[in-house]
Amino acid sequence: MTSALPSSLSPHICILSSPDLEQLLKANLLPPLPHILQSFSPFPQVTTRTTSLTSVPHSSFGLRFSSLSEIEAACREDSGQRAERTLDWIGARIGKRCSKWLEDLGEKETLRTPWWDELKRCVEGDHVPSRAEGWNHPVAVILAVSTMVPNPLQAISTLHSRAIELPSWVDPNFLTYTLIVHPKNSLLSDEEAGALFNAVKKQFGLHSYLLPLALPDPPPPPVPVPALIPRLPPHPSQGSPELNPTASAVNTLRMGETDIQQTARFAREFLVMSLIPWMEKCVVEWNENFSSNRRLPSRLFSSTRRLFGSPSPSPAPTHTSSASLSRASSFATSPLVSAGSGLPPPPQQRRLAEFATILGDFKLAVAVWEAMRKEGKGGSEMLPLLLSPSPTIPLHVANALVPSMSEPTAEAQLRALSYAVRWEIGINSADFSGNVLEGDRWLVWAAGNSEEPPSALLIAHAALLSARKLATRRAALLYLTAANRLEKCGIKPLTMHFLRKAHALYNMRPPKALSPSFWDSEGQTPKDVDGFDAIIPGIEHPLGRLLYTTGDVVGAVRFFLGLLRGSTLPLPPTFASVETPSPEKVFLDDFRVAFSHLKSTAGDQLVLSDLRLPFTFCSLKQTRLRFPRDNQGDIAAEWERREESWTKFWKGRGGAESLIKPGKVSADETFHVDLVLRNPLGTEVNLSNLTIVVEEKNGSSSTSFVDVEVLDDITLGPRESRTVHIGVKSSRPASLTITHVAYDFLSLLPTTESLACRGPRLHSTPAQRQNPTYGPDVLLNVQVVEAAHKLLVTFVDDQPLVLSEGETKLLQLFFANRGSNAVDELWMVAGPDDELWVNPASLLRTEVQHSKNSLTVSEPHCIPIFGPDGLTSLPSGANSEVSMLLHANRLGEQQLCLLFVYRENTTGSFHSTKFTKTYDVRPLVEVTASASPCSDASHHFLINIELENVSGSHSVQLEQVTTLSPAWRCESLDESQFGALPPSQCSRLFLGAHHWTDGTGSAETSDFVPRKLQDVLLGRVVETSNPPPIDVLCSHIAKSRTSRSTQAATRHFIQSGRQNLMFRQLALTHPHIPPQSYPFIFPLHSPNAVDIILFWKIPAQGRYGHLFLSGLTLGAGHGALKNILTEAENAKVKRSMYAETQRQKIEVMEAIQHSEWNAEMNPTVVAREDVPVSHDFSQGPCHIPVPFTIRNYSPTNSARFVFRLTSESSEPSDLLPPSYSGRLTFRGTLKPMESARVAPKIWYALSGWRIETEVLDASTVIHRYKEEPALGSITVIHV
Amino acid sequence: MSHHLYLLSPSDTPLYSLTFYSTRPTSTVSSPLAGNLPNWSTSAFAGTLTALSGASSSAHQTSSGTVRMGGGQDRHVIQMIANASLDVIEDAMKTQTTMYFKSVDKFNEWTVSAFVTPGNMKFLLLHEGKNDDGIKAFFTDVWELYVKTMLNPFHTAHTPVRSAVFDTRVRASAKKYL
Repeated sequence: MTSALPSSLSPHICILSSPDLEQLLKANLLPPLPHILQSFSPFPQVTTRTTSLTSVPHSSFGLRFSSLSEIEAACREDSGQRAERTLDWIGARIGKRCSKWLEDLGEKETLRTPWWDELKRCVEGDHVPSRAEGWNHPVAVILAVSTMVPNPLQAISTLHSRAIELPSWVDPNFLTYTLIVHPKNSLLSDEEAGALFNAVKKQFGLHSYLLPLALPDPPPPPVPVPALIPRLPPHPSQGSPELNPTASAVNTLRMGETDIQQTARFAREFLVMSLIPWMEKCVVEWNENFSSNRRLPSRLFSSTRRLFGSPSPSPAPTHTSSASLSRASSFATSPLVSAGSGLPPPPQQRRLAEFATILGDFKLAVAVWEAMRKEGKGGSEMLPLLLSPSPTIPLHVANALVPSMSEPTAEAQLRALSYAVRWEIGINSADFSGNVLEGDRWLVWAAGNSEEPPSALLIAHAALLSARKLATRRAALLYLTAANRLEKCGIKPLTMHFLRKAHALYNMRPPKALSPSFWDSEGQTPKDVDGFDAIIPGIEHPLGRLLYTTGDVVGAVRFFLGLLRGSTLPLPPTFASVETPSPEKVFLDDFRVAFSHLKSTAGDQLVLSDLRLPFTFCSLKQTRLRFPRDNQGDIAAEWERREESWTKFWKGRGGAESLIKPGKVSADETFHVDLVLRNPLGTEVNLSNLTIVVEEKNGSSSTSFVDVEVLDDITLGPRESRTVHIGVKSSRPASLTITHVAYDFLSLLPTTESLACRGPRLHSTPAQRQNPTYGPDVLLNVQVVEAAHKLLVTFVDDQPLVLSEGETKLLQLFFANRGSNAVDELWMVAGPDDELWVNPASLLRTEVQHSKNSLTVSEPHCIPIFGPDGLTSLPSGANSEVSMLLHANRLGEQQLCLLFVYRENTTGSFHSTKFTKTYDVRPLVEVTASASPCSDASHHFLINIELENVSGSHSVQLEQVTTLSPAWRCESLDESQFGALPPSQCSRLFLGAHHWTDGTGSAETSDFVPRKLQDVLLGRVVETSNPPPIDVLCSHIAKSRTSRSTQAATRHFIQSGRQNLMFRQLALTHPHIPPQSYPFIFPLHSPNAVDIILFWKIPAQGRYGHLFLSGLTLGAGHGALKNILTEAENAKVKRSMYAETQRQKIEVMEAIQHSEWNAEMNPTVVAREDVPVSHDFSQGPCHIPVPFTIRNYSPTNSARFVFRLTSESSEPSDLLPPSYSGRLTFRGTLKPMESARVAPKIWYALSGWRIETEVLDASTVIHRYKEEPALGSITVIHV
Repeated sequence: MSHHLYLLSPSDTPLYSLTFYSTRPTSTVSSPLAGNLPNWSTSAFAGTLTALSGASSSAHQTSSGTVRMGGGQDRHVIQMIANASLDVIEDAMKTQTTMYFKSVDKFNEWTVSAFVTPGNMKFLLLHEGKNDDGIKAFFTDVWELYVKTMLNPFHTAHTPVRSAVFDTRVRASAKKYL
């Protein structure tokens, strides 16, 4: 419900002044009469009466005055053209003033915006009658004369007789009023004026007034009065003389106090005594017509109601019997002016509704408007003003705005605009923007799709209302829309203001009622939220462009730079397909243009320190330092192992000197910083003058001694990653910190990026655990040292190495001391698998080796230094060469990693240098060996070695075979076996093995292992005691007498080969025993093992080497671990809660049970000697002695046997059962490795014997065996 | 006729967006206000700055003329409308108990329908026509697909949906219902 109607809905009064009056006013420096009278509007405390004679008090009652001639001229103009002109006029006014407003407004937030007020005033100032509505149709015409003419009555008659040239569609029904202005200096005296007034009253009716004015000369000081509402200037083609209504900023009136009072009295009298009664009379009359048209239904309605006994009187507003109560009109009927034919005047019903609205008779007005709305004659636009807020009102609004939507002409736009303005003024602002009405939406609807400034301002005001309702996101959208439209009209300051508002409102996130756990669960904070990706660029980019075009290039550059956000992730295909041209390219181009313009205009005094890229190119975590003597990081673990083994070795020798860690760079040495640059933008960029910033740690500012490489230009494609290397060289020792990377973005903007990495998260205190706290930033540091210790190691011949399996290669190492200090001591640390020998000169000539029998891994080699002049020190700048033998023991591509540890004198700390070499090992000869008991008495075992040349191209010469065993001596059975082995050929070697008992240590070793294994099985700590030493017999079998195996290098290789092999086998069979404790459990040589070493040579290429073959164990074993296994099984079971532990225990036990140390077998082997038989059966049955050799192959235990000969054969045979004669059972006891010969006699056949054996431990029988050849089975009988 | 779908996390971060062009003839003009309106025209100042400022640098003359940002519509305006509708949706969530808010907001020719899951995920659909049942069925489908995506233990309410399977299925569902 409205409180005060908008001024455009007040009665419109036209004034026709006589020329003499105009002259009089001009002479007294007064504006035309309409402007004078307008200054007195609105009038306070006016009371009107409704049709039901209820008084309606108006706290203020407005009137609009205008010149009749002006209205007549304006009505002649085409309404569409006029509407267009109005829109342009409003736009021009706003465009002219907006920058001033924005300056005045500054940053402060106001509830009213000057552009909206201006728009409202412009729209409200429209006073030209319209065909669609009757508000601007004149309600009264005041004919004004002055008494300055000789015959005022004549002048009045002239005015009255003047035809009013309004078009036919203007309502001809208006009040005519006569005003006589009587100035003090008039020609007439007061009495004459009074007489004139009476005459006028008689002739033209009571609607007359005599206005006496003093009009002193000179005019009194100006009195401020309310500003005039701006009005559309008349069409230039009409050129009617018109005062500029906007002459001065403050509207003033130069009238004296008495004149003001007189005029006010006149104005009030005109309103209260003439205009309001006349309008009330019209309302009463027209209401009669209106209700009479509708009387029948209302009568029916009321009688029905009466029938049903409703006691209340009819509230229907149409049912008023005001006709009988209306005041008797004493006014003269106004002369109706018919302005020719044409369009009809507005319907009486509409005028009724308008008059009733003006007079405050809202009950009647609503009824009439409602009735008109139902008939489709308009009225929807007024109902929102008159009805109280309800959800139906937006429907009225939408209905009212339909024509403006369907026909986007200027006229319709203007009408929608004026409706919107009236609603905004007429409806209480709390209701208007409330949730029921949502008036901000009306404004958006009214704005429609037109791109004129008024509609943009409508949307902007809707945005203001939304923002006030805290619907910030909606407000942001509306501001952006408004800016988009305004921008097309070229009103740039306001466009920028709206864009800024939209930006600010979008960034203002409404508070969310989310649980703190929602953020905590993923370690995010509410600040991490990023909204829609295209919105901020969509606001900032136009803003930047506008700033650029308005001359604020710095601001534009800032915006364009801010737009280049980039993304850390590649766009998924679904998103990428939407935008083919990356918007970043546009932003980047704009930035480039704007920034180069800025650079060219601003010159050197440009302050760019705060211009920063919103993204970084450098990927900090991947930035690396690369040192010249440093190898790639993938074998870092290998070097750590080398250093570890060195430290262990040196400590074991009692040395306390430490090994100084590498990672330092010496002066005058170039090291590299590897930067990983990633382009986050979807477009190509280039970086020029890419370099890094180096600082010295102790703070000295000058780093002129550091030479840093500068890369001229780097072009990165969209989202490309690239690694660049920047070389740095320091000319003196220093502690350097690499702090920043510097480059010129697009070759324009100098930029630095910090290379500091966030420190690790701290967890030491509860506060640190609760709030993420990080250690200090991590920077790359480089220690540049004096080049005191610097040893270079290279191969003399740096060819790629391709070796055959088992080949021994002589390598020349070249040492160059590039440091300033001498090198006195040099060690080489190789890996446990590498077989290397440094001193190739010395020779050893003993056949029996006294082995330590220990599996201890190889120790570092001390490298002899052959300095100049026979010194054992390598002075600065000197070189040395050392020969080294490498044995290729593993197939495939291998890498030799050697750590050289050196120092200046025998007390200083050690320094190290690293050396790697890759080599390739190809297979040459495949060797397999097998052993079987020998039937011949001369040897115990026969060893069969099979060789196959698999090299494919080389013919291999077999030079020598050496067997190594603590218990067996081997001999060649055929000396002629050595010879050339062509490619893809096979060869065999037969060796005979004989037990050798001269060596010592076998028995001790056999005791040592079960003891240690018992510790393992019972879960005790294994003592760190080495196995007892053992004598190992080397049997050399060679064609020539020169024996290569006696060389120390070969010895070393054989021993390390055996070690490596043992380690590998143990790791396979006993995976649950930690490898560190192998040397304390297992010996290097087991007592019965035989190792075979084959020496080969390729004479054509001068290559030689040896192959190591292991795994033969000769002689019988007797379950040496049986007791400890039983003990372990019967031990008190410790329960473990983990099934895995239990399973592992069982696996350990099974591995030990099946190991070679627990081998158990029948030690006796029966061999029949072939005896040539020739017998003449005519001389009787044949008695043949059949000698059998029974041999005990146990090297440790005696065996007792029973050799029985039976005639029964257990399996059917074609042969007759043998028939023995004489002694059928032979008994005997065999000492270890002893044999017995029995010679039973047989009649004529040979089969069906059985041997029973008992193995003795001292005198007790521990195992008993039976064997029958026919079955081939052995029956074991345990005692 | 195009549709724009946005999946927003409880903190209103877009996790997934889809622009779908439907060929289905649907009864348009749900509101008299939305009729006969021209589409949003691209801003004249979306062209390059060089062309705008009249600078005579020849290096950028090749790309002069208007560059349309996004596919036919200004992407940022569409996103702005979706963003603005959150104000209304949040109000509606306070008063209504349903998950589906049909035509909850309108801006020019765009109607916004929304679906709010019990986990406070918001699905927004900007559409031009009236197709309530289809949109509801589509939202239900998308919800199911989203729930399946959420079953991935590495997927949280903050994680953008980058699954190609999800995308394919949402498109298939859009083709079926929209």
